[in-house]
Amino acid sequence: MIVRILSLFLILIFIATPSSAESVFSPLGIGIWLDNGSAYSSSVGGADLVQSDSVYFSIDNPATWRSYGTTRFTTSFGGSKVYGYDVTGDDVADNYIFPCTAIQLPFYKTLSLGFYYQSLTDHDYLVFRDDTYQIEEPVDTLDSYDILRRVQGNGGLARAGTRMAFQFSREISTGFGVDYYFGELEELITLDFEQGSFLRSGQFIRHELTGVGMDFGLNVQPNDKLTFGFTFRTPVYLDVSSSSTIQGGDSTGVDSERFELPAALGFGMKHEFGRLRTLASARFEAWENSDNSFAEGQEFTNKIGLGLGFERLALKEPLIPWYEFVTFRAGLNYLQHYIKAGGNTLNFYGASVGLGVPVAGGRGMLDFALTYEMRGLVNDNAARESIYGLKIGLSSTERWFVRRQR
Amino acid sequence: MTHTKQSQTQARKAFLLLFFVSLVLISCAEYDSSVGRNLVGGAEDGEIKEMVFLPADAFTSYERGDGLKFSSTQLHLGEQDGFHSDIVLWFTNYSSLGEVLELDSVRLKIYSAGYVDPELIDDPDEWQAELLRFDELFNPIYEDYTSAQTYSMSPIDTSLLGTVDEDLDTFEVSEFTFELDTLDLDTLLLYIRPVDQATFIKKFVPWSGVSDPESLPCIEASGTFVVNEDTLQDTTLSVKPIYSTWYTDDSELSSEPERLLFGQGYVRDVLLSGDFSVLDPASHSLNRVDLVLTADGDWDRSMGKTSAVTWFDITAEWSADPDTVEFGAGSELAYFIPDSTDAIRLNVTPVARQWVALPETNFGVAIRSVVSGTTVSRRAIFSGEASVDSTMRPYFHVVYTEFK
Repeated sequence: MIVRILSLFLILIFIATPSSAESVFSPLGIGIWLDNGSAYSSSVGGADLVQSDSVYFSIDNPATWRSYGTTRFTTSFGGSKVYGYDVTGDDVADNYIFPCTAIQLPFYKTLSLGFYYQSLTDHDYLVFRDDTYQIEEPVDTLDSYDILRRVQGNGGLARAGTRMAFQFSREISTGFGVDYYFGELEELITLDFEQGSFLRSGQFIRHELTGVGMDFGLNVQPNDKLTFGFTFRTPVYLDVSSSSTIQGGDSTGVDSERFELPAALGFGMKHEFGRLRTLASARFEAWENSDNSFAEGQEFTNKIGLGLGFERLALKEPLIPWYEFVTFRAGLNYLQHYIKAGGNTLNFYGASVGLGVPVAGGRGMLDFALTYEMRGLVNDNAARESIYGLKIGLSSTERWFVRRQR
Repeated sequence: MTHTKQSQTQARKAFLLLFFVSLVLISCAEYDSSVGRNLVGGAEDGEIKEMVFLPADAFTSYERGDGLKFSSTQLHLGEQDGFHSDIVLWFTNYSSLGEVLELDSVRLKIYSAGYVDPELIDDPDEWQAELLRFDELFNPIYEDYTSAQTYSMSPIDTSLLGTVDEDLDTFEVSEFTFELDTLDLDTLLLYIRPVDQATFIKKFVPWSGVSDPESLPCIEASGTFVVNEDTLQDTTLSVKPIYSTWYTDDSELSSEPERLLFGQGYVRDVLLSGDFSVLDPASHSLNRVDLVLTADGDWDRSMGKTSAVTWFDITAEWSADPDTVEFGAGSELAYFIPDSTDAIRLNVTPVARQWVALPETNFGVAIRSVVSGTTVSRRAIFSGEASVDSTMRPYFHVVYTEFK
């Protein structure tokens, strides 16, 4: 009972904890797309689209939420060190993020029900820029003033929702989910004159985003070794309510715009051969034709994500060395970001290694993922980032909410 | 699957580990990103601009009228360029001299302390002042703006205040006396004013804790006093006033449309307002707003030493009746008016930001002397009249940022 209460308590704390990715590319669109699920997902390059067993399931694929007779839940968080630079300098930032938590409950026979929370994008950034302005004094002469521009962004987009899955047969399971998207993007622009006699200019812009979408998933397992999966997300139209306040004044301008998260298709595959499990996934989102009055003036491109992951599964035998009951993982991933930077496509390349350590007598897995990701190129995208991350997650199968057999 | 006590302990440890690691990671978060400036773009940064405009037509000089002024440094007596000043002394302790006055002599003594503009004095003729008493109670504190001339006064004495000192640079304090033989116990206030037209302002030592005690104005009475049925034979008592004030009026100053006047030591303020409605509060952020005035260094009716001014926010409509003007917060800065013809830039940014955000609060500013009441000075700035050189007229200089 204590573990259950503590678990729920921690989950609530994590949900209340804001995410911060603070990327150089965060100002673009509605922020940098995180595309990071659980620690397990990160350790296999995000290729876990069809993965489903008694412990793990994929948040993005409702079909993987099928019931195994127990309650499964997963929660993850991580920290990262970001090295970013452009032609004018370089910078380092510590970041933390709480990407997701989810719980899946057995509902009736093979029908299951679940809930999740997941952060999607992050809009945190801080940029300084020096400028010089010349002002022609009416009585005096032409004077130059040094200006320090400061642009700071905060917020991001997240979603929470429910999933329902059903297993038709041993080979086929399907599921669907309803997602509520919500978020807040804030931008504070200030201009400080180096001369103390001038007051700071400032504008504070806030966008509040809300929307509803649906997810569908299908998993097909033709044999014990092979699984295929498909996902589809309906287009999501986010209502963007914007306000602007000029520093030093009480005035506020309010506007209402729209931002479309386009339909998304996903394809995944899992193959097991002995202790080697191979995972692969491909995702596609048609951003080029999306309707985005909110991000007008920014250039979109289709989002393409590829992932490839490997696992060496643990042995479940007594009295074996530690490296035999620990699961080793590695992954590669590629992402073509949905918005262009510097007029060119923004590409992410990532690699990861991970461990899965059984806990609670094998009922749960404590997952670790070390990740490296490279974003952009200075020549193409005006900036480049290298991100070194550590993500820790706990996935567990429990008897919570399971009806006792009489 | 079995639930053993050991397995529960392991799960609890795992959760606690997660919890503490998360706290460590969260505490490491920081903002230090400064790269990526090329990605922010220029469309949202705002553009710094400037503009200049003249004050609105509700632009005038303002005279509150005469009044009694307190001063800890000097009392002013005389006339100069339409400025007139008398002295009022309030002796509340006079009745303490006793129930019965059988005095041999009673004198009022005042001591001179220089001139406001000694270099302008060109009339060395003797001049004299008269001493009067108020025949009714007059409170200089609570009836500050009531004209003293509306009260009836009875003459007591006149006294020769001498010729103008020949060597004004080495002015020496001199004692002047008025005989108070007709003084009675009902007298509370004594009023001193020049009998003849003086062409200068002479300063006298006021009652004040910072003045030389030997030079304070006083009544010196000698004779026999009866106090509380005790008789004091052949005694001399000195009584100091409770208040010493000076009564000013410059209403005879001829109107000069091309100039606006600041008065220090008596109330003459400049009130003006500007129309800031051209600035949109939803897209314009003010960086600096200067009210630029040009002092007239060649004006031949300046008085006293150069004084400093500052601005005060006006909180109510005043154009219909300037006497109703109400002042709000003032600037913490003082601006010295140059002796030469030169510009004065008053930084009115804080109040201008308020005017743009809340146009209904824009009643303009009052330009007032930093110190009022201690000494006399008068300066002129050029007005916005069409006959004034356009570069000399007052104007607002606005540096602002325009956000899209």
